[in-house]
Parts: sequence; structure tokens; C-alpha cells
Amino acid sequence: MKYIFKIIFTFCLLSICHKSFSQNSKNVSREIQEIKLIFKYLTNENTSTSFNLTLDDTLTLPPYFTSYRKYYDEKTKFKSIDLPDFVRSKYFNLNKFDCEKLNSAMLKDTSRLFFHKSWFTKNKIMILSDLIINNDKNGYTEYIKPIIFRNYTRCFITILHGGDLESFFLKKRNNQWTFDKFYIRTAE
Amino acid sequence: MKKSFLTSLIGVITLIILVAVSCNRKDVSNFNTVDNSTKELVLSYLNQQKILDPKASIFIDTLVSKSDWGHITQSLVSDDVKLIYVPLIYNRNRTGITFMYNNITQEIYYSLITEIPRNNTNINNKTNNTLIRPIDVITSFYKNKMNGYTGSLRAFSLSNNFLWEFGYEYGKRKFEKWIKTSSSNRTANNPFPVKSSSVSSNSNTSIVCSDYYFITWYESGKITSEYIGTTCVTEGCPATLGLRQDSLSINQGTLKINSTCGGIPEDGSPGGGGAAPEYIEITNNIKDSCLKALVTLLQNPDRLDNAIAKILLNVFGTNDKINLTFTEKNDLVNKWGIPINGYSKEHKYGSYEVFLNSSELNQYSKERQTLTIMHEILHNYFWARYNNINGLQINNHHTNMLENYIEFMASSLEDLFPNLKSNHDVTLALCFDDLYGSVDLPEPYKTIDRSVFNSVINSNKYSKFGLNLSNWQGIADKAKWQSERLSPLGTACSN
Repeated sequence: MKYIFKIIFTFCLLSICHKSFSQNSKNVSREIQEIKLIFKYLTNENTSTSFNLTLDDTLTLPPYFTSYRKYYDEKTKFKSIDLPDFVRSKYFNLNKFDCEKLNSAMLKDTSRLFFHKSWFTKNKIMILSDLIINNDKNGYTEYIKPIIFRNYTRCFITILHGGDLESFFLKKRNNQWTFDKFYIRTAE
Repeated sequence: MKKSFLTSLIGVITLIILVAVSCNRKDVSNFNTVDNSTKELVLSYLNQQKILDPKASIFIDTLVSKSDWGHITQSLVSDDVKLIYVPLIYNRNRTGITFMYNNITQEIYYSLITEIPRNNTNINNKTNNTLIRPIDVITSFYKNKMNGYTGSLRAFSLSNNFLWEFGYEYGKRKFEKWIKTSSSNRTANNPFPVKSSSVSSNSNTSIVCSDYYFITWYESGKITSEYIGTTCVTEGCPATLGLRQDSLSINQGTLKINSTCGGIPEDGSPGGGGAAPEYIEITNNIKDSCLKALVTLLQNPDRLDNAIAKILLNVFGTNDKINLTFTEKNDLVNKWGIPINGYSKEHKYGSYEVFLNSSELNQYSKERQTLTIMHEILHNYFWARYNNINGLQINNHHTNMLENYIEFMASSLEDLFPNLKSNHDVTLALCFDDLYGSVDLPEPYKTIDRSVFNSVINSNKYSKFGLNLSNWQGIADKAKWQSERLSPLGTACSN
């Protein structure tokens, strides 16, 4: 009886773990799917000028999305990139839960998400190697990992180039990502 | 005894009244006895004006018929100039025609309609206006001694166009208000398209005039711009706008407030050739006196023909309320800790801030400091102008300035500092110096490609005018620094 109980207990534990991991993996894969859709939108014909394509329409990307943690400091938070905490805003259509999700994702998410050429269909893609971006003599545009929130219907993206920053929201309408509003933009 | 006391009392009271009356007259000389010759002089002048400006003729006739000839007042502004004030029977005689008369030539040489708005004469209840009559206010205005006056003075031309308004509090100038009209060509949807046999068109192009009040507030250093309205014209925009009906009940004149432009949406949606801001507010919070003055110089409405000032004041946004604040930040560094001259931030669409580092900028001449201000204004302009997905031009701002705005910056700088006009190469070199900060950085930080920078400097658009900018840094040095010894062509902040 005792053994049977142990076996059932272990089985239950395993199944809970499996369910939890598979859910996590499902979320990650959903997130990647959304990011692929977002980059398809951002690099389509109508918006391609935004991404400073080279003359032969090549889109140069770093190997991975960086994380906000890279610019976090205990004392000044994200002051080095001039991004304040998110607060509820009618203008930006941010409720309390959105702000919590955004602030927490900026603080906690340290994972790198690698770009894949297969995400892009139309553009010529050049993904830079680690060696290139780690060399101070090479300049590149940094993309901070998009934060997708409100049940995969909204997204916040920050792009850094030199000392300049652009951050903006996207929204999903009819299963298509579209531009919503700029958030903070800074330039030197 | 009682009788002599009463006589003395009456005498003292009479003396007090006489003294009080003479004190109230202040230094304004009056010629209250106006004979018919003054009326004839004024009428003759107005008739001349009708001939000179036939469009104003009906309005002048209305003014003449509504003039209160029995209450003409006169006053001396100087030994040579006398003011003649003819009140109009509107607005309880607070509106009238003011004529300037030259005592030497014995001719009227200028006139305008003046109005002293009653609702503004008491900004707060503590006012103690010693200037009571309109002629007193107008004379004091021209003498530049407002004697504790609180209130404002408006002026309109004889063709019924608003000219200006000056506001005072306790004799100190509080604000000044002017009107600016900007024009743009727009292709509008015509609700009644003209059809030919082969082509039908539902669009045509017209000139759209947008009118604004520009108000300079002296204490805060703010300039506010109030959008008044748009008008469609075919020949060109008038310089100013007519009297408002609510301020003067005269129906003649050229009232064009908020008139619609056939087919053009009133929301002035972006993309229609640069729609006008409804309201812009520029706040100058700079503490450093030299830097503050340079920002004010660009804000000044009389600089509206200056390209960058135009961007700042006139074409800065689209149709919403726009705020631009200049803030001093003397520990300004970039994210790598490198000190920078200036920095711009869009908090959200319509809310912009320029940070200026006076600790860095005070080594430079006024000319070079002004270029940094222009540079930052352009960043904000690009954001306001490209507020859509294609505005994601993060690393294009500086290249855009280099390729498309150098001439704007140079001509604007020469407009503000005419000393540079005969040294156009120096002006251009200063502009390159301003942008070189985006080239001369380690690769990850730079936002202008060096080859692009060099190609612009060496392009034939400068060499064909005989300008050789290959040694642009040496040329820029002639006007770059605060020190007159190093930069003899520059203006030091002490000047």
C-alpha cells in the first residue's frame, strides 16, 4: 500500500512538472511566434525605411536581443538609458496590470533571445557575430527584447543606437501587429 | 468767529480740490479745446487714406460715422509730436482712433485704432491706475513711462487688421502680442469637382493661411502661440488678421476667424503639407543668462523669417498642443559618462524637452552655442514631424541634419549674427563642427558615417561658390570659441 502511494505520488509530481514546463515552453514558443510576426511587420515594405536598410536592402541585426538588465543600476534604475518606471496612463493606454508586467519584465528578464534568419522572409538579413559586436570599434543597433503583454495584444520595444533611444508600443489588430505610439525618444 | 471759520474751511477745501485736480493731470499736457480745424485735419487725413487703400474705404467711413467728435483729446508726446485721440462710440469710449501729428510739418503722419480692453484693466483688485483716460494711456505708452498702469493696449490698422497688444502690471511690461500668418499649399478634396470631358478631378490646390497670436510673457520667458484659424485664399496670405467682432462691434472689415478651407479637414491631419499647431508653448527654464538670452533670441517673434525660429514657433508640430521646454542641466553626460552639450527628449507626442549643458557650452562663442540649440530643436522637430512608424529614424537624425538642414542652420545663424554674413565659409564650418560630435566618436557611439560627412564637406555645392571647406576645423575656430583672441569673428557672451 505504501509503495503504491509512493508510485502514485511520484507520478502526480512528474505530471505536474511536465505540465508546468510544457506550459512555459508553450509560452516561450508563443512569444517567439509573436516576435517573428512583429519583425515581419517592422521590416515590411511600408516600414522598411525605419530600419536603416543598406542600399541593397540588407537588414543588419545583432546576434541577439539584449536585456534591460544590462542598463539597470540599483540606485538609478534605468536612468542611463533614460527610461522611467511605467505608470498608469490614458495616453499610452496602460492600466495597473500592464505597468506591473512591463516594470517587472524590465527588471527580471535577463535571457537573451537570438535572431534567426528564418524569421525574415523578404529581407536580406545579415546577423552579426558575437566577435563583431564585442569589438568596440564596431557600431551596431541594439534591440532590447520586446515585452509582450495584455494577452499577446500589445508589445513594448526599445531600440538603442549610440546615445539615442527610441521606444514604442505596438498593438495587435485582426491578428496583425501595427504601430501604436512612441513612448520615450531621446537624442544627443 | 463762526463765519470766518466757515470761510477758511471752504477756502481749504477749494485748495485741496484744486491741488488734487492738478495732481491727477500728471505730466500729460492737454489741449481739450479742440476747434473745428482739428476735426477737418483728421477728416482730410482719413480721406487720403481711403484713396491710398480703397479696400479700407468702407471701414474708414464707418469709423468716421461712429466717431465722437465732441470728445477729441490731444496730448504732447514730445516737442515735435502730438497725439490726437478721437473716441469711437463703441466700448464706452475705450476704443478710438489715434493720430500722430508732427508739429513742425503740421501734418498727421500716422494713425491707428487703439483699444484699452476694460476687462484687462483690473488684473487684480489691488490695481491703482493713475492713467484713467485713453489719451493718458496712449501717451504714456509712446513715452515709455506707464506710471504704474495695469492693463493692456491694443492696436489695429485703419484697414481693420490687428497690429499688436501690450500688457502692463503696475507699469511694468508683462506681455506683448503679435499676429503671424503662415501659408502652405495644400491639395484639398473639392466637394464640387469640376469635370471635363476626359478627366474628372476631385482635388485642387489652394493656399491655406493659418493665423496665430504670438504672446511673449516677460517674467517667465514663455512664448505662447494661440492658433486662431485658417483661411483659404488664392493670391497670398494677408499680413495680419481683422478685429474680432467680440472686441469691437463693427461689422465691416475682414473677419476671417475660423473660416473653413473648402474640403480641407479642420483637424489638419498630418501629411497634408505640414498642418499647423493649434497651440504651442515654449518654456525657457535656462538659468545661465547668456544661454537663456540665446534661446530667447530664437523665440522672439520678429525672428519668424529665420528658418530655425520658424521651425521652433511655426511648423513645430501638427495639430495638437505642443510643449517645448528648455532646461539647463550642467552634469549632462551620455550613457557612457562622456559630457555632452545638449540632449533632447520626447516624453510623449506633444511634450518635448531640450537639456542644455552650460558648463560645456560656456567655452564657446554665442554663435556656436546657438548652433547647439538649433541642433536640439531639430531633433524635436523631427520627432513631431515624423510621429509614425517611419519616424523610426533613430540613427538618421544627425545624417538628416548634415544632408538636408546645414543650409537652414547656416542661414538662420547668419540671420541672428549678421557679423557672419560676409564669412559664409565660417558659418558653414561652424555647422559642420556642431555635427562632427556625431562623427568623432568610437564606432558604437557615432551616428554619422565619416565617409558621408566627408562627402558633404567636399561636395561641389560649396566649391562651386568658391568655398573651400577642406580645412573646416581651422575655419570654424575663427568663430567657435568664447575667447576673442582665438575666435575674432565670434561673439563672446560678455558682448
